[in-house]
Amino acid sequence: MPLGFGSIARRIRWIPSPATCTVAVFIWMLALVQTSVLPYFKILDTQPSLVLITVVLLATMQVGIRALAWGFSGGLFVDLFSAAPLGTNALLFTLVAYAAGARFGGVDRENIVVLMAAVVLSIVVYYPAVLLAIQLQGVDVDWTNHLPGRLWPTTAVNLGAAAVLYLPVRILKQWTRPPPSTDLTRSTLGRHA
Amino acid sequence: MRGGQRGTLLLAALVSIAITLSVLHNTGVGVPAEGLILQAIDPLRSTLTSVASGASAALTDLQTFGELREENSGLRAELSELRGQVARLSSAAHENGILREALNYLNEHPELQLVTARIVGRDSLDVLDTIVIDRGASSGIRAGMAVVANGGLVGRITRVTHATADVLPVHSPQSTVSVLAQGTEITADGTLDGTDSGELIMRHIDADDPLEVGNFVMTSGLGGSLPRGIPVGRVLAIEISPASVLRQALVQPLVEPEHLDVLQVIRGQTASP
Repeated sequence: MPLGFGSIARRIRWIPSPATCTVAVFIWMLALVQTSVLPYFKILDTQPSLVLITVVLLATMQVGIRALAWGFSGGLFVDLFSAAPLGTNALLFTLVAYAAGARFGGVDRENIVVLMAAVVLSIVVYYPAVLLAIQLQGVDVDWTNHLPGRLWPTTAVNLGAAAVLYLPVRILKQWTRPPPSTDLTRSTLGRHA
Repeated sequence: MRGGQRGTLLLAALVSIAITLSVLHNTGVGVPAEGLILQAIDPLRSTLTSVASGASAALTDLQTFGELREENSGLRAELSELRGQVARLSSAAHENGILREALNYLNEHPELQLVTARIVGRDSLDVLDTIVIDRGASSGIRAGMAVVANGGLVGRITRVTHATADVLPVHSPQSTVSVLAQGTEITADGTLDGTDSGELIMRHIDADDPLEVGNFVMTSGLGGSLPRGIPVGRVLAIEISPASVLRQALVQPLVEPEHLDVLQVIRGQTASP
């Protein structure tokens, strides 16, 4: 019996499905907007990290190894499109996605309060981490100015952006959820969908 | 293989790849590949940046319209007072001459080739303040070259790919430029440092050097990384510390990079080894 492209793609799991491609394009476009548009519209002298928020929301809602891939590719896009040292955000976003996808007992992962808490926690961890990563690559970072002065405005702005991104990411997550027979999340990172 | 193990393995693999990319980037090996990717998306980025810049400018105009109307009426009231200050114009004319001379720098140096570039990206981390432009090694741009706009210094090139380049603005805390403050006859040397607040501080000014508020600050050419005589800003205030024989001055930049769309790179000047 001849196999269709979808069947072959499911058998060879590393061939991306249309849904996977949609998420990749969505993250790619967010990275472009984040680096080319948002610098002109700063709020509280800062701007939201749309890609990080999306990765955290996806990883929290849809636990699985694909969240790691979103984190890595999203960070890579941000590294490429901004002037950040390549690999810095790819590394940090992957670790943040891993942490966001970790098991937390019986927590309702689709509850908006839980998701916003995950975003806040991620920003609070990510911001000092990216400063440290940049400093390790030879850039002189003024910690006293950046941490007390910018961390909380950055967190507040990202929280607002997360509220805006919540609905589109939720729709995207529902659309990209694989059928039970091929759900990679069932057996990954310790949580059964 | 269990799912948890797969997740851990994938995490380890992605972390390894990210670290490898970072090493390739810092050693310069991966820069050509980065350039190819950036070249491919450059048209889209340019369009996005142009639209965003235009929208931002329109928004700013709307926000400031009311303020401008009030300011206009205030300025009309001050006009009569200003008429009595015509005498000061003589010194202003002298300053104007210095400024014109500085701004004519590029006309007087035809050997410096200018490459016009469009800003296509900015540092999204708010740490480096770096600007990304749509010209790179293919346009003859190299690290260390000076970047100007509207006759004033914007910064210098720090990293170059095939089709793009990163500009470190002069107001960045990572930036230090050798400058001189142009007095009426004598100049004062110093170094100009950026700060986190976006201000420019001219440091290491000898106590004996003449320096006045309003003096124009331009590149000194010392160190060889930037050409001499590019206007940078104007002295706003001078600070004298009793604990030091050296002085420092607050400098107002001529160019505000956050409002720029297009700038020019002075080709032919490379970083000193």
